Amino acid sequence: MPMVEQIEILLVEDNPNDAEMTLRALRRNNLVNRVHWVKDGAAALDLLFSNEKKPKLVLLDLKMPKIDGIEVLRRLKADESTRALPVVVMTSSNEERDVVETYQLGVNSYIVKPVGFEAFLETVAKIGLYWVLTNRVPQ
Amino acid sequence: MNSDTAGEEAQTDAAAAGSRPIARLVYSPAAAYVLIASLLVGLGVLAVRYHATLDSAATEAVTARRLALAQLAATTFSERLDRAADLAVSLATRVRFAELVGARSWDSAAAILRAVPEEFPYVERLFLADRAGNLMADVPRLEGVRGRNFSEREWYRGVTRDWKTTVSPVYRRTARPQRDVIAVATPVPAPGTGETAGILVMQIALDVFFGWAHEVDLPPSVVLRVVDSKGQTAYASGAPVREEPLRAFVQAKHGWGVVIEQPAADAFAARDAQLALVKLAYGLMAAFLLTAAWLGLRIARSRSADLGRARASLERHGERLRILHEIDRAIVEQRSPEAIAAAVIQPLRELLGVPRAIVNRFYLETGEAEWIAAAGRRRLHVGPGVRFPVRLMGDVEALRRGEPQRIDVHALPPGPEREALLASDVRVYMAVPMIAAGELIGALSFGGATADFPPEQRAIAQEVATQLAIAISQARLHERVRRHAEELERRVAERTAELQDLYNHAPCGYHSVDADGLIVRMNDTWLAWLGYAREEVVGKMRHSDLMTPESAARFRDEAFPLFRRQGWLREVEFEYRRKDGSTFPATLNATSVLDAQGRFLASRSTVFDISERKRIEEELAALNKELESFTYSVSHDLRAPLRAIDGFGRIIEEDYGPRLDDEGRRLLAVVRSSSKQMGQLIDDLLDFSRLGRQDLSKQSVDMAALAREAAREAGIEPDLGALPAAHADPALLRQVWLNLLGNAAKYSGKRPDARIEVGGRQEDGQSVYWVRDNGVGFDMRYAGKLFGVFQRLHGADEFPGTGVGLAIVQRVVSRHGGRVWAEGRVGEGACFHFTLPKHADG
Repeated sequence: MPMVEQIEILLVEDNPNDAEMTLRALRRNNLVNRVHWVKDGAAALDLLFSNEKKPKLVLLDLKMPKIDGIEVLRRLKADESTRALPVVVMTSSNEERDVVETYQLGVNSYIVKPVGFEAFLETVAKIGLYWVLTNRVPQ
Repeated sequence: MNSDTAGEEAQTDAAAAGSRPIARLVYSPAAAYVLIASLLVGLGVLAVRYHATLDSAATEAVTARRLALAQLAATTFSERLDRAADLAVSLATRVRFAELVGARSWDSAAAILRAVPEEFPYVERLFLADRAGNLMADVPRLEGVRGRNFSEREWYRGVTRDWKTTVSPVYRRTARPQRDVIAVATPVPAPGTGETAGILVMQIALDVFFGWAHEVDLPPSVVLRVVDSKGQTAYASGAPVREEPLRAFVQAKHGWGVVIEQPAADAFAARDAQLALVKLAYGLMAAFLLTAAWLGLRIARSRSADLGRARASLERHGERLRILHEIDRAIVEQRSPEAIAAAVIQPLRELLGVPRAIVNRFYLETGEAEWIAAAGRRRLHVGPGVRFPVRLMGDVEALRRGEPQRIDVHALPPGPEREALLASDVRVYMAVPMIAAGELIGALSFGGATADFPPEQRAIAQEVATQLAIAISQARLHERVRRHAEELERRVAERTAELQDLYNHAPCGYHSVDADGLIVRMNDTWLAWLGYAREEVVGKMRHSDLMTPESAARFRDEAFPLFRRQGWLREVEFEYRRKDGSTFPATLNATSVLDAQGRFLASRSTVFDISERKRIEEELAALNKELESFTYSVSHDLRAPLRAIDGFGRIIEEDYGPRLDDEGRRLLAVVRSSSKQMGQLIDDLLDFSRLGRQDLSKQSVDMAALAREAAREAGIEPDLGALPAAHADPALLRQVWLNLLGNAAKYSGKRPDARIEVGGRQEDGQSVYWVRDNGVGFDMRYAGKLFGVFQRLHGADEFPGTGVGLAIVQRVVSRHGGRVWAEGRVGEGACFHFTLPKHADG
């Protein structure tokens, strides 16, 4: 496990295929070394609440075993220490109710994973570059 | 008494008186004188007593006839009054009518009576009054009488004395034309309580009501008068009798009476003439004394035979009166035609001294006659019997004119009737017409082997025939009236039962609530749903007592105040509680009943049990939820593997592409494009299913702006005409335009001169929009398939697409209440139309 200090993007994704494709997209933009991948919500919460140093971005899938993305988002936005953490939901769900619910919980962005690989690569690259390099977060 | 018989009796007297001079002329010894003197004294006493007997018998006969006539009229009249009173009572006690009066819906109650004056012509007018005697509604309706108080009227005083049906004396009524009428007033009992809710008054027109009196066959100078309870004359058949009258009075019902009167001089004219003849005879006898003396012994010998004849004549006379009296009694007792004929025919035959006498009834429409009663020397036949052609009674036209017919059996045409008559030894017979009220109803026939019908016989037969005709027609009239009344009662009972059944077994609950809020009626259906017996609810419970506490509170605080304000409730849902404590949902509809002043009187409610509907609604909601979660998981779970197929295909292409040959790369491309297409299919299908579930959020939509925006998004520039505004969901309509314009662009894109037009118009209360292109078009044979899901008319290699776009268009338009259709020709383009209901504001 890499040192927490090095983590800039926390990828929470239970599907290894999607995770691999996401990592591949980030790799093309030389962001892959700063990514840490966990396979479920419980692991993500453990990691985030046990470390002082927070990542610059959480890429969160919604449908996951154990603790799902909505619950992770709720806990992050409910806690003083994690509320400012930018969370981008990346999901296959195009359901309006998911969009509404996550925005009510304070999500920073909601992205539907494109089915086509090119579009997927492009989208992931945009997100990584924007939130890690362009966006500024409170220190 | 007729003059022939009077003359005969006078001669007998003269013969008796003539025996004294005979004794003196024959120079008989003293014993003969004593014998003759004592005979003379005896005969003198006999003559005086005979005179007295004759006088009292004739006087009694006259007065008895008058009394019988008065009794007949009084009975007929009483029966008419009773019929009128019965009619009033049967009208007043109809359930629906009494309910309306009880609810003070005077006009609706009066509407029920509308047909009465037509059905019963003697009822000229009806009205309804309240307990205080104020007129509330009338039939036919007259201006200016409503609200007037009639408590001074006799009928009001009569009916309020003990709340019984009353018949008033004659009075001049207020309504125009002002004329004399009788009023029959009866209280209308309120259903349930039985208390009097109002008074039904029938005004009876005197002229129609006394129509029957014109048909009473009165001897000349006899006047029939009907007097009311105040002694006023309600009807008189002629001018009042001024001279000293002979009068017969018979009390009728309801304090009325019938008077038969005739100047005494007229009434006793026949008797007086008879007695005058008797006296004249005494004079004549005195004159004959001397000349008749020499005939003394011979006459003396014949005296006893003459006396015998006189007695026989007197007996005949008495029998004749008895028969007539019997007929009168039959009329009064309202016997059947058969009973009247049976009582009379045998004594009549004996009186006429003929072997056979028959009362025949005529059926002129079929040309037949029938025996009612026939009497022979040994046998009496009664009841409907032998039928035979009416021509056997002689000339029917002559009978109609009242002329008796004498028929010779030998002159009849040969036939079974003629043979039968001859076989029973009838050679000649007489048919005397029976005529009542101008109608020939039958004939009295008699005869036998002899051809001799003396005038006296004819006179008796004619008199009896006339009386029989009156009696039989009265009996028939009475029978008709009775049958009519029975029929009326039966119909009222039937109708009442029908309404009761309809009320009780309706497929919904009914109840009525009075002004105090208590339930006063409830039907069987509703009671069965609630599990109560009628007596547990009616008069004891309030509507809200049947509800759960929450519903009862909502009823009291919200529904009831609204009901009092607007007068009705529609489809309001409440939770009701059965007797066993279980509950069920039901919808309530109610209307209020107000009086003329707009005060709340009562309410009527219908209740529908909706537990089944509720259960289905809940099932449906559960199914929808299931479907929703299914589509949710489809959207998520199917997409992820597709993305992996495409993504890893691409990775193979990137990382191992150089090591594959051309065929390998082509196959890989097929895998990737197929996965993309499947992704598109899933997305379209989810869009389509979402359209069915999503609520419409309608607002005013500028269709021209929406179409322009969609065209821009689709990257085309159509010819845009004017489009009517719509009231619709803009997001969904945007999808419609996008799909139609996208299709138009797709199918015309291969033409260099591609042209797309958009237009709209208003017609028949709806807006029509269309998108036309000059592309490849389609075969109209497949027009029906265009709007089905996944239905395509072109291959994917020709034109890409999933076949969902037009299905979405149709679903959106039909959810808005419109329709879609398309026209096209192969190679010439297509035009897609859709309609929307016309925008309410424009």
